[in-house]
Amino acid sequence: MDLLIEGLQEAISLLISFDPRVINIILTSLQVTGTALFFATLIGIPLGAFLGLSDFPGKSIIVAVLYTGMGFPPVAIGLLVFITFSSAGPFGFLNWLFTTRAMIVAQIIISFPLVAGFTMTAVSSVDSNLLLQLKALGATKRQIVLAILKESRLGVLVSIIAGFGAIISEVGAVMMVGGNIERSTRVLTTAIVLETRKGNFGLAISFGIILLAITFIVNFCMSNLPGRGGRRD
Amino acid sequence: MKRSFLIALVLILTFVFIGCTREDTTERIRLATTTSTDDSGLLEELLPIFEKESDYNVEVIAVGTGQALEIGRRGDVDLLLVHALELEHEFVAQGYGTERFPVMYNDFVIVGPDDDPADIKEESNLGDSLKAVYQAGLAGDATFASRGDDSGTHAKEINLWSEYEIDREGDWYKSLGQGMGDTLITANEMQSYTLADRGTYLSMKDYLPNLAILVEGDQELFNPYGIIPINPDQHDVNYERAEKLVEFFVRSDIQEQIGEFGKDKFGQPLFFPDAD
Amino acid sequence: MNFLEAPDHGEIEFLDKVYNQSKQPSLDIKRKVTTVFQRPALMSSSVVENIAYPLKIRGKDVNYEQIDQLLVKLGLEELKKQRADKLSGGEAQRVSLARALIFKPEVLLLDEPTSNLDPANIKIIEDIITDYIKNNKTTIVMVTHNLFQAKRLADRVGLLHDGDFIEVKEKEEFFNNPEQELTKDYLAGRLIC
Repeated sequence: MDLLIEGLQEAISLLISFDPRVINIILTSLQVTGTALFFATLIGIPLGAFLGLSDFPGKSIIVAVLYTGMGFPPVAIGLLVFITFSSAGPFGFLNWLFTTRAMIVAQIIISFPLVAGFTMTAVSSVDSNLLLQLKALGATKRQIVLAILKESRLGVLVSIIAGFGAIISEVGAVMMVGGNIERSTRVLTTAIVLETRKGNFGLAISFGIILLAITFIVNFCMSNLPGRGGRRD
Repeated sequence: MKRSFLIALVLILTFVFIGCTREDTTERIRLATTTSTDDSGLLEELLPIFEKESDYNVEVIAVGTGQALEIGRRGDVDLLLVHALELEHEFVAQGYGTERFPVMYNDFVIVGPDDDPADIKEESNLGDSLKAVYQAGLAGDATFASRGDDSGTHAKEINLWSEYEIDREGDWYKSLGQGMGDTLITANEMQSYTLADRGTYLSMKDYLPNLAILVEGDQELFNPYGIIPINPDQHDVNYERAEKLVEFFVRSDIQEQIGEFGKDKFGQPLFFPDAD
Repeated sequence: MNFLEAPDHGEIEFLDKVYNQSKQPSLDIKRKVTTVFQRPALMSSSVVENIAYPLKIRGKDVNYEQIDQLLVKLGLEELKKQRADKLSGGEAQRVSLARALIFKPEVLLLDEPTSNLDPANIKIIEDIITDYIKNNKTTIVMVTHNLFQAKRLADRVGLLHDGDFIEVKEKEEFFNNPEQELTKDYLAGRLIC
């Protein structure tokens, strides 16, 4: 209990003091996860909408692959990305290993199945009569998809939140492909691991509290986006 | 709705932009080392001196010994600073590294519960101490926490058991698969014996109230660190910069500083200079 | 017939052009035809936004005054800012109809639009339809199981049985001088199957 209070105090004083190392870690976390989430959303929402609204042979296989991806261990994805971007690997020439870029790639792979999977569920639970009705009103395929996404925006939002939660708190993959390099690829989760390992439990807990606070603030903002609807009745 | 989206988009694009501009690879040296080295804080003290002198930026990637060697083998770093003597010689012999330069050594200690249920403190040598752990373990009076992560420390521990022909199978032997710090924390909670490097133990001592150093000083427990530049014939690495860092580590003033490191905090040095 | 799916067989002649399985109408042509279904399917946006939707997807300017006038006629002016998916069945069907009328389609298919509604709501819907065709040259095809409704609204009436038209005639002719036995049976209140 003492440790928790100590951690809380340390977290607050770390934030107030604007320790550049701490600020750097927080910014790197946000930058990596923000960028990864942006691309995961860019891939995941169209993919989820497509799978949720169309039927084709082999769809069940793709859906099963997607569901597997939703539960795939991040460390395994980290290893995969590591091997891919290692200088001996196929994309080694990019020199992305141990940079935030490799971390972003890993996080995209971790989060886009979540975004796509939840979007698919949200979209396919929209009344199928509405699809037919919109088509009858003269909507093109694109317009129908947009309208359906708007209808299921709450579910789509949950998909983004799920994707965000999975990667902001992820440690195994970013540790492996980022290398936890100070002032470069160190993020909150890897900093927690490092400080725990060093025995700096207070500092580790304060990073944990900062992570928790960031996650809470982001989720709070996302779930209170204006125009989300659903609270007026 | 639209406005908040716009704001979010601008924020994200800013992050992407930062992401694209930050990666400056021109002045970088990548050093893979073990977590215990990094956690000791020694590099944090030494590397800024080097960075100031040379204008190079040293990126430290702290991983397990096995992983560090593998990263080196793949050419993903410019040099290694590790402590696994035999594996290091093998690494150089196989052509992955150019040469191994001795830098320093520290030592391992056997820590365990304060009350020492296996009475290992009383034994006259390292082998008998280990056998005492084994016997108390079989009797159910003691456990041993092994890192079980293929780290240098783990390799050292396995070597010791086999050297003294002690069978490690049994409930008393817990293979954790964790780093040094986590292993010490676990040992502290489980009242286990474990093999730890002195540096990590001393730096965490405050959090390990149940543990004490029980065996130390045996020649067998010395733990030499070597620095190895990756062979530029094998991979596209910055050999020249790696050489500069090697020269730095073996320089006499730096060697002296290594010998001083930790004295003010722990009352004793954590490392002993080992360069010629 | 509503261009929602390609026909399995046969042809549709529309605005001097023939469409069949291989020749599909363009989007512009499809957009001249619309359907209001038995069960209204509205979006969760406001009533006004629902009605404006067909205009928006056509890239047309939305005349909100015109929508307001339509809402007054429909008795929905109080509800115009409400979420459309929270309306009662009758209100929802009125919005659904308004959404189809707003862009003045060439052909409007009404697929049993009043079969789930109470008489008061049926009256409102029928009044709108009668009022609308007075001022617009839209062809309305309405499917109903209610003979009296057909009598009230139609110019021409046809009996559809097992996917085939049994008999199609001017309203007076259909009710007074049916030719087919099946039509006679149906008009006499006997169950046909």
